[in-house]
This record gives sequence, C-alpha cells and structure tokens, in this order.
Amino acid sequence: MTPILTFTDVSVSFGNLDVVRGISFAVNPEDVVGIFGRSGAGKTTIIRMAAGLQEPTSGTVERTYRRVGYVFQEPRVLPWKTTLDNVVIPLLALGVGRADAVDRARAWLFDMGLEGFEDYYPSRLSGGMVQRVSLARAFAVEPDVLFLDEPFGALDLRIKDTMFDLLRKSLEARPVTVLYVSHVPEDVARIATRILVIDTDGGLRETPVMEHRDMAEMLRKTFGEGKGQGRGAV
Amino acid sequence: MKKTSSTTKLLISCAGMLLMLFLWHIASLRIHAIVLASPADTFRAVVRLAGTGRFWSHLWASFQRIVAGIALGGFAGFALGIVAGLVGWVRYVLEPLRWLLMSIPAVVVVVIAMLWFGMGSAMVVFITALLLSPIVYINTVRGFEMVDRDIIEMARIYRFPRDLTIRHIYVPAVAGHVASSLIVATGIGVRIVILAEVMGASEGIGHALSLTRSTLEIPDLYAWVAVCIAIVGLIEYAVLKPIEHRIMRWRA
Repeated sequence: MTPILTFTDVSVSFGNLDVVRGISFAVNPEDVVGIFGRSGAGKTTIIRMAAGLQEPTSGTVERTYRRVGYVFQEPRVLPWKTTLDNVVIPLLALGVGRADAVDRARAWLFDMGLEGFEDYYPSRLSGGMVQRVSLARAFAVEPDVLFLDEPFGALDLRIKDTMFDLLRKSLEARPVTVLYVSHVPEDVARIATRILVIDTDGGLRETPVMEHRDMAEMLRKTFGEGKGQGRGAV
Repeated sequence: MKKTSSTTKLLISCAGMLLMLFLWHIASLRIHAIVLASPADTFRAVVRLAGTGRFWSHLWASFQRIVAGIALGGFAGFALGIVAGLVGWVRYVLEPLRWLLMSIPAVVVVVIAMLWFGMGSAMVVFITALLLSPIVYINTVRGFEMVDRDIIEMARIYRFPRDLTIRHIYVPAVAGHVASSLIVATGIGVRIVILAEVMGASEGIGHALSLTRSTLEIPDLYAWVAVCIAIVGLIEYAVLKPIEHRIMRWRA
C-alpha cells in the first residue's frame, strides 16, 4: 500500500526553538492515526504540515492525497452564513452543482443531528453544535484524509462523548484516513487504529494500540498527564 | 449594563428631541426674529413652502444629487477598498490621494469643480462622490484588515477559488463596516450637496437657501435647514439602517 502522507526526518524551528525534532512516519489509506503529545509538543505544527498549511524547516513532507477535511480546535465556520451554507460552500468550491451540494450538505447535517437547524446562523447554536457543523463540512467534501486538531477540546465532557460517537459512526459509514492530535490520553485512545506519541525529547514513536482504558492509563503513566482535559498538567 | 429595549431607546431619543425643540423655543423668545426663527415659525414656513411647486422641484433636485453622490462615492470607495484589500500595493498607491481628499476643504473642491464642470448637477454630484469615496474606502480597507486569518486558512484548506473567497468571505466581512460608513457619509453628503448648491447651482435646496438669505426670509431659511435634517433622517432610517440590519442579521 502506498502511503498518502509521508514525513521524512522533519524538523521545525522558530529561531533557536526546536518545535519538532527529526520526526519520520507514514500514513496509509484508511489508517486512523492518533498523535499524543503534551501541550506545546508540536502537535498542531505536525498536523498543519500534514495539511500543507506550513512547511518544515528541514526534511520532507510528501502528500499524495487529493482532498482534505479539517476540523480545527475552533470551528472556523462563516458566521454570516447559515448552517446549511457553511457545508454547501466548500462543495461549490469543489465544483459540485448547487442542488447536489444542498442534498449532500443536508444529509451530513442530518447525520450530525442538526436536522431542523439548517437555516440557523452559527451565533444561535451552541459550541458543540457549531463544531458538528464543522465536522459535517469536513465529511461532506468526501476527503481522502481528515485532519482533526483537538477538535473537541473546548467542549464539556458529556458533549465530547457524543461527538466521538458521531465521529466513530461517520467513520464506519465512510472509512477515511484520519490524522488527529490531542493532549488528552483518553481522546487519543478512543478511535485510533495507530498511535504515535511525541516523546519528551521531541522524537516520535509508535506505540501498540491497546484497549482504550488501558491505553489512556499507559499514556498517563508515561507522561504524568492530568485526568480528563489534562490542561495545566504539563 | 442592562440591555435597553428598542422602544425605550426610541422614547429617550424623542425626549432628547423635545428638549432640543424646547431650548430652541426659549432661545427664540430672547433672540430677535431676524437672527433666529422660532420652532413654530419654522414649522409654519415648512407648511407654506410645501404648498408651492418650487419647493418640491428644489427638494427633488437636491435629493437626486444626494442619492447619486452617495451611490457613486459609496460604490467607488467600496470597489477601490476591495481592490486595495486584495492587492497590498494598491493601498499604498491610493494613500496620498485618500489623504488629499480627506484633508482638502470642501469649498476648495467646489471652486475647482465649478471651473471644470460649470454650474449644476454634474458638478454637485462629482464633488459629493469624490469627497465621500475615501470615507467608504477606508472603512472597506479596515474591514479587510479585520477579516479573520483563521477563516482565510479554512478557505485555503477547502480550496475556495478566489471568486468564492471574495463573495462569501471578504464581501460579507466588510459589508457591516461599509453600511455604517454609508450612514456617516450620508450626513456629510447632504452638507456637501447643499454647500455646492449654494455656490454653484440654479436650483436645489442650497440655491433656495442662498435666496432666502439674500431676501432675509429667516423662517424659510430655517425651514430649509429642517428639510435637510429630514432628508438625512429619511435616508438613514428608511434606507440605510434597514440595509445594515439585514446585512448584520447573522449576529446574535
């Protein structure tokens, strides 16, 4: 199988500060890769390079995927567009006809439990709902690869559970390569089929996937990361 | 702060208006009628003038010029602002011109424009559009500066072509700024139109004003002032505010 994303000896530094130090890994089609690292370990930098939003200081990032879905930490929806239009416009950008785009957007909004909210502006939705719009938008473009940058970090735990269930169901319905990063052990362990860990020395190593409770336990032991949100536990 | 309901706001504004009328009335009792017409005299003058055909032709002439000036100036400022927002160097090229137009006294422009265009509508509309365009322009550029970089990055990820980015991101992002700058421009536009008409037009409110001044028909002079204020109010509250409200309806 040809990887759709290959990092070879990639380093990133800002001035004297090394953010990413000589990492190499490859992502194969339909891998669901979770990258775990502490806050400030360079997770966002890695995912941004994978998506082509940033270039490495040294090393190479090879990208052979064609289409990307991206869920950012914050939803990044267009505040002046309705829920429906927010999902429709990226489809128009792909050249999908308006009528088809609307059908597809409606179907994904339905799957995300947003039926009846199509004509709402984001300002009238809750944070969890807006992030679901962002998720519907990412799936609707039928991406080869889906990038998730701590997508549910800002949501409370109960909503986060719902979001992960939605994500799991969506991935079952339409398998897609996923690269996602988090600093919360439980979140990384939840849906990943492969787990990469950013070590304290800035290197990257792959760890075997275990049942997610054990996985979370192992990661927490190794890194001393706090429970749940893990904020401030660095 | 507790949010004030729109009805309450309206009532308070009405009270402010009554207070202003009251102070005007008091002042008119103490100041000679040749200097200051009373509110009642002014009102009677408006009613009397409204019964004449000349009133409506002056009003219509000015109204057309005001609308044309604001529309042209607004469009030019908006279009140049979009270009300057998208292409960085255009902004620096336009900067001296913007500075010139915002610093030059309107009277000077009127004198020069009269040399170029002679008297009448073309001159008035030209000046109004010319002096209003930088107001809308700087607000459009400012709107551009405030476009969320994160949103632009999202558009890059989803490969928005340029036309979609402009239509769905830049234009809506600057529209609110442009609408509020048009409200400012309306007040200034009416002033410029009247000024230009006083100096170089044979009809319009400005012309009528200069006639009342020379014949010392003081209540008529104040009546025209009231009409000017009414025009600004009409454009602002009947046209621009509803447009602004519609543009910004996505806000909670």
